[in-house]
Amino acid sequence: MVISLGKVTRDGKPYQRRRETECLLENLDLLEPDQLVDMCLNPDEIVPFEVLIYYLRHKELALEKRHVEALFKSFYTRIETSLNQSIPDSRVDRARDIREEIVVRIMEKIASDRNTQQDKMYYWEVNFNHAFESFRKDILKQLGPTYKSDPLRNATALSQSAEEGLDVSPEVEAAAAEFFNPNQSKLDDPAFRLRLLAAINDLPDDEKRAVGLILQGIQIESKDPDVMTISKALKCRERTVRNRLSRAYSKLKDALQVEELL
Amino acid sequence: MKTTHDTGERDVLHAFSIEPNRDAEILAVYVEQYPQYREALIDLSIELLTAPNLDEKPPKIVSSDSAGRAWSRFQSLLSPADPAFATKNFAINPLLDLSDQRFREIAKELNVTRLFLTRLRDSVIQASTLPERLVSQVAQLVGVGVDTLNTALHASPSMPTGQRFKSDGKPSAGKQMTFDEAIENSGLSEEQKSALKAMKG
Repeated sequence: MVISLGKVTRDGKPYQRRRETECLLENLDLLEPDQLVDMCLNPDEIVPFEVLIYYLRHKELALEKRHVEALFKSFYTRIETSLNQSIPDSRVDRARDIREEIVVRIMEKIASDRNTQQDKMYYWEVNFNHAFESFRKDILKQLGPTYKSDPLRNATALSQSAEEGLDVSPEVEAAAAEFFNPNQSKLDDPAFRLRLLAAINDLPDDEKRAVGLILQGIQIESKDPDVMTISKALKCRERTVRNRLSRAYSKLKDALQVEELL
Repeated sequence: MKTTHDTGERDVLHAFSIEPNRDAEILAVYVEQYPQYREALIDLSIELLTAPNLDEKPPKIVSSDSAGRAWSRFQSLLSPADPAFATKNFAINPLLDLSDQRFREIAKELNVTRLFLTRLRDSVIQASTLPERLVSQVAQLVGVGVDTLNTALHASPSMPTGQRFKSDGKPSAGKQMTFDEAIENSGLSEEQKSALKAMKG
């Protein structure tokens, strides 16, 4: 039987994992431990991290040491590979120290949940990618040497009236619109997407929100009053949204150095 | 997900986070239904969108040489009742027995950072590259013989220690480094670096 998340709603119901995770866990739960591990280590069909963290976090599943070891090493190797890509020595000062710190702290968190049977990492079984990214960013904030001096992170949002007063050239606006078209094929390139997402995460909050919403397919404006637009969602004027997108576009373009591809 | 939300907000954000087909329409529905959480929902939607997908098959899996060491570290963090706990007996590293406070004191007395001392303790620094003078000083501070400490420091870092890991000093999960590399990469001041380098003479 799959162990429920310990976190409960205000109504006392257990929090749910995403449906596909619950289904996968239910199927794996029917297998013998050896089969279960084989499935989880299959290189041709990678199991989601939510599944691996489930088996690592719950001591009460009583998997033998060799099973936990195999799952742990798979988990570790995948995390290490990911960190080598997202925090490369070539682009981040003290990258090795930061990667080590992240790995060690995750190990400590998993061990803590195993030892205490608390549910502090429940959300990692719900949305591992999001939990991991938040955790990674927290540690970069603490250890990243460039963080405090990074002008993007420390940019102060302009007041709304000041933003509206800025003139953005039609050319920049058109380029921004093309860049943020969520259907563009470049987003299908994993390497480009990783760099783009990292660059978006480095934007000031107001610009990140505008970019994040347009990438989700939300329109800047609409004549239909019932349609949610970015300006309605962010409670600002359409002109402000366009200015934020244009500013974000300039920064992302610089960050990605993709002028020749645009 | 932020941790400071009230219960109602947390429930709503959680429900949004497990929506199977999150898109603009779903976000609009949530924002309309829970306008009080508008900003948190928008921020969450963006965080979920921009979090890299770690389940994609990586183009190249890195060598898992360090996975064995990491596994040993992980085992050392587990309670003895855990089936995954390391049960074998290996040479005891006297640095693992130190209290957090004593560990900090020794780092101070040696005039090194805790990161450096952690790397020494966890055999991240190749023992063969350590100056005898440093090993001697550490042995004196922890109250063991030089030979005993040397044995522990030469132990393969992948060997389970059977000791509970002291979480105050973070263990390293990477490859081993030389003494010189450790000097340059352990957050030491120039003065501390010079003092350590002088021990080699």
